[in-house]
Parts: sequence; C-alpha cells; structure tokens
Amino acid sequence: MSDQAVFLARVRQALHAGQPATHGATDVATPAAPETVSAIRARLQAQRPQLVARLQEELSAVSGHVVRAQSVADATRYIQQVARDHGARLVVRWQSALLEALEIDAALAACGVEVHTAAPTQTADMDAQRQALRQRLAHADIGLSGADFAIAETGTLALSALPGQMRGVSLLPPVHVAVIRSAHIVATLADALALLQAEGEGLQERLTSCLALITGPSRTADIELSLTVGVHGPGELHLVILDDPEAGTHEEK
Amino acid sequence: MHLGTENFVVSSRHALQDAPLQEALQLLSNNFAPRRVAAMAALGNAEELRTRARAIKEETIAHLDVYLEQFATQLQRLGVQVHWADDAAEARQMISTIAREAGAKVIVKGKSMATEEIQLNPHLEAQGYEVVETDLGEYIIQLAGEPPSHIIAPAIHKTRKQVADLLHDRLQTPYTDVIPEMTQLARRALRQQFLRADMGITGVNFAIAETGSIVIVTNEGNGRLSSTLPRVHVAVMGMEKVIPRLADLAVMLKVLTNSATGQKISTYVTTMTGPRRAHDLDGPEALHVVIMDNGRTSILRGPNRESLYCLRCGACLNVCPVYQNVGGHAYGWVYPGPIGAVLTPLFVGLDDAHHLPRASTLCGACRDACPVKIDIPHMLLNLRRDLVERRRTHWSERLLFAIWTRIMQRPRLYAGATRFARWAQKPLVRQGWITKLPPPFHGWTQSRDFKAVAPTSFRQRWQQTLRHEGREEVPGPRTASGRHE
Repeated sequence: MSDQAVFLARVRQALHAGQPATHGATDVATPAAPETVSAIRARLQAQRPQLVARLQEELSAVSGHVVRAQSVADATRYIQQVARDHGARLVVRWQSALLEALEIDAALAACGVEVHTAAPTQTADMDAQRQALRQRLAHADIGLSGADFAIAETGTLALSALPGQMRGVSLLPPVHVAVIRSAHIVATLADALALLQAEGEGLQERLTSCLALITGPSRTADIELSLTVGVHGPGELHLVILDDPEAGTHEEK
Repeated sequence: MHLGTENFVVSSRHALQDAPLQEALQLLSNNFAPRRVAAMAALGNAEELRTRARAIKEETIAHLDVYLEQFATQLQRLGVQVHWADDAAEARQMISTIAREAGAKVIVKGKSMATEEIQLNPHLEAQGYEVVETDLGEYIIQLAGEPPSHIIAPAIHKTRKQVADLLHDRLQTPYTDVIPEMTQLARRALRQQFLRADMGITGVNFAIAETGSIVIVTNEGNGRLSSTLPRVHVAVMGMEKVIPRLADLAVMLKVLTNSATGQKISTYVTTMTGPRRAHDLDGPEALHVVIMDNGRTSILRGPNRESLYCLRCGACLNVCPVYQNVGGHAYGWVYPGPIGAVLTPLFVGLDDAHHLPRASTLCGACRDACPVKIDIPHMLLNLRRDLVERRRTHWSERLLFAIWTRIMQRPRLYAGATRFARWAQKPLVRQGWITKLPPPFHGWTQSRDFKAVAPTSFRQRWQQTLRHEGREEVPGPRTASGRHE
C-alpha cells in the first residue's frame, strides 16, 4: 500500500473506534437555501453607492489611502501625485486594460518616472524574464496593479496571479497603488466566493495559482503589541476607485 | 525532544516573579481580550458564525479520511507533491529530503506552529541549512534562541529594550529602541534573506479539500514572501487543517481573525492553488504539502476529539487566568494556555505533562472565547480522570478523597465530621480563611486559600429559615434507615 493509503486507512480506523464529538450542529454548516448568482448580482448592483462608501471607510480604518475618481483623468492625476510625493523613479505595473485606459505610462513618464510593465513576452525564455523582473521589482519604488475585486465589509482587495498580474507587484515595493472600477466591489468574501464558484467547471483555473486578499499596509504588533506598518510588504497602500463605467471595460479576464 | 512540561510548577513560580514578563502579560490581557470581545460584538451574528464554524469542523473531522483524500487528489491534479508523515521524525526527514533534492542552502520560514511542533529548525540546521524565521516575533526569538510564548504573538514576553539589545547585538546595527526603526532594521535584514532563499517553508491555516488550495493568514506578509520568492515552497500542516469547501473559508476566516486579534480580516490572506503556472512571472516552481499525523489519529480514537477543531487563534490564552499570570513558557511545550493544557498531554503523553490538566481553575472563559466552541474544561476533566485512574496523584490526595467518599455516604458521620472540623480548624482560621494547612495537606494551600468551615451548616440554616417563616414541621433528610436526621 502507498503511504497515502496506509495513512488514510489509519485515520478511517481511528474514526470508527472513537466517539464523534458533536453538538448536533452539523446541519447548519451550509445554509439551507444559498442566494442565487443573479440575486447576488442584483443586490450588489442596488447597493453600489453604499458598497463604495463602506470599502472606503473600512480600508481607511486600517491605514489604507482611498480616493474616488470620477474620471480616468482624475485617477491618473492621483497616481502621478503619489509618485511625486515619494520621489519615485521606477514603477512596476501589471498589464491591465484598466491601467492602459488611464494612459498611465505617458503620465508617469511626464513626471520623470520610468514605468515597467511586468508581462511575459514570447521572445525571451521565462526563467530569464523572471530573473530580470525580480531585480527590477527589488528596486521599484511603487507597485501599480489592478484588482480582481474588492470586499466592502472588510476593506479588502483581491489580486489573483496571472501572466500579466505578477504577485510581487503588490508585495515587494514599499508603496502599492491599486486601481479598481466601482462595479467590481462585492459586499462580503462569501459573495466573492459564491460568484467564483458559480461560473461552473474550472474553479481551480479561476482561483489561479495565488489569490491574495490584501487589507491595508503590511503590519505587525510583535514588539510590545505596538502597531507598526511596513514590516515585510508595502508600508503604504493606495486604492483608486474609478466610478467611470466605461473605462477599461475591454479588460481581459 | 526537549520537554519542559515536568517543570510547570517551578517554571510558573519563576514566571510570577519575572517583572518584565508580568508587564508583557498585562499588556496582552489589556489588548487582545477586549479587542476580541468588541470585534465579535460588532459582527452582530457572532454566535451564529461560531455555531457554523463548529459545524464545519465537526463535519470535517467526522469524515476526515474522505476530505483528506479529496484534498490530496486535487493537489496531485495541480502538480503538487503530497507527503504523508506519520510522526515528527518522518516529517522532518521528508522536509530535509526535499531541501536536499532541491539543492537548497538558505531556507526562509513563515510563521508556523506545525513546524514548531516537530522541532524542524534544529534538524535542518544540523544538516547545514541556514534557516531564517521571518515573522518578526519568530525572528526575535530565533535570534534570542528561545521558543515562542504565545501562539500568535511569539515574542510577547520580550520588552522593547530587550529586543533593541538583541537586534543591536546580533545584526551589528546602531542601537535603537524605537519600534518602527527596529521594524525597519528587521525588514532590511530579512528582505535580503527572502531574495537569496532557495526554499520557503510555511504552515497552513486552512486546506480546502474541494480545490486543493492552501490558505495562509498573516499580517506582515511573511507568509506571502516565503511562498512567492523561493523556488520551492513547502507547506506543513496537521491533518486536521482541512475544510471541505471553498465557501467554508468565508466563515472560518471570519471567526479566526476576529478571535485572534480582533481584526475583521488579517492584512494578507493568501489562497494558493498549486505551484506557479506556465506563464506566471513569479511564485514557486514546485509546491510540496506535508500532511502530518504525529499523534492525531490517537486523539481521534479517544474522548478528546474536539481538540482537533482548534484553529490556533490564541483567544483562549488571552482570557485564561492561569496563562495571564504565568505566560507561555511555563507550559513547557509549543502549545501553551488552556488548549495547550489539553494538546500537550495528548501529544507528548499524560505522564510527562501531568501538571498541565491541573493548571486550570475550570472557569470556562476559554470555552466561551473559542471560535469553534471547544469545551476545553470538559477535556481537562477527562485528562484529570485519566490521571486518577493511572494513580498519577499524590498519596495524601488519594487518602483525603477516600476518607471524604466514606463520610459523604453517611449523613450522621458527615454531620459529626463537620462538627469536629469546626472545632479542629480553630487554630488555623484567619478571618474566615485557612491559608496554611499542616502536612501532608499543605500542598492544597500552597497557592490557594481554603474557606473555613462555616459556623452553621447549610442544613442548619435551611431549617432555621423555614422555622422563621413559621413553618413548624420541617422534614429533614432521610437517613438510609428511614429515620429523620
């Protein structure tokens, strides 16, 4: 028998030998009638203004900077300002239709900031590309990304890992700036997971290799329980919520 | 393995005299406990969530074989290598073999209680690997050469000044005791290690059977960096960490973070589903998951199965009057506090940890704080019963209870014994309390006072009260022979 078979047989035997420790509550694990996907979408649509406000409130409460942009121009100006405030020289960004709609590369170049788009190319071999990008990221002043969705209840951004969505962009630079359309805000993590699940087969694909939920800047309280930001991840997190319904709608997802 | 569990009595006495430790513990009970209470209250449906979280764990553990198999099947589909470790030695061996085959030299670690449980670091270091703890608290105690003293705040026993001395001494950096500056020193030192590491080892907070995902929860980002930058990622988990469905994560995560730190969610919750994919620009090229038994099947067989529901949130530590006074190190093994008093005897054996089930007042605060409603006092009583059955009690205690049992079965003897005790205790009573009993019963009053026998018994007062209310005929308790006492 394989290690797995032996291991599982022992667990099975122990389960039969022992007493189940139950309060008889097993049936409440899954609510009887989960909300349908269309019901979730309708609810989120109806609550949009409240969700934006809640996201802003919750993320601010954990030291995130949140700004609402009425137009792509507003969003671009804000990101320029962050770059200037930090005297940034190098920004590494995701490849995303939304960021391209902001024409962010030209805007940052105008402030003297070099922008590097982290996306795989067909020409070079993957390992060499990874190595080079890692070097760039280690010296980047700002990581600029989109977000797959945001959770209003907790002030959380969700970033999945795809070829144009490198994990390190939201992790290595000292400042992380994310841009999201207000239509991508859900109320709770339960909503987000239900929507992910509802798309049918291929759940593992949709989860991607890494789904990171990010809520505020990196923090620690390991010395005398005193709260300090920026221990390993970014010490500053900015979120731009774009209300313009047209921007970046051709985003590949 | 080094066990300090035998020394609980001595260690806890030292802890009570340790002024910096007492200060740190004060800080802990003033912070974590009230924050948890406020956060749970703010949820509005905390009770419902705890019930659902418990139900999820009940369901998982009741069908653990099924969910583990499903989890493993999904992992294998994703190209993850699954390792089944029967005990700590096997787990250590598997991990060092992975490191050798990967040609690793430098290993970074995210915070993980499972790897503490198997004493992984000394093993890897003995084989020549450079092992770096990257959670700030774990890093501090690794520099100090100490074990963690709290499940989620491992260096809570160290003061700011002690940490400042340590960093100055070990990192050869200019002295500072300003916490943000110390944090930046650690960031710079550890960032270099992250960038040069070949292998990252992390724990697992939740393992999702449905999708083969592992979920890691941190605030600093040490889990994300350890699982993103090195070529190889090894995730180590106790077999009870599995949850059935992706949807369960929403419930479990909420009760975990609100209970642990009073946060609505931790800063980073990373769900990893397989190693990096073909065109991903970062992430590990290989992912290994080590699933450990290490004594857990024998827990499944016994009456303390619900100890496997534990999420390692630390909430029970923060509310425990014993932990609040003696801290984590006194418990002598990796899991301290009320849940440690249950887990430690179950993992290392009751004979080696016989003090721990008794290190509780059974006040029940741990059960009330637990996000999955684990009945810790009940399990402590189970273990105490085992101690009595194994005669792991002092002869004077056994004698006392033998006499007590006899007396309790005979009402007249009981009344007589009470009268005798009332007379005999006279030289010992100070303001209604006995603070010192003579040998061989002096152990009882060593760390607690004994209430003196009252001048009138409850039964006497009951009779008086009824008489006072004008009810003349009062039936007394019947003796075995049917006469009134």
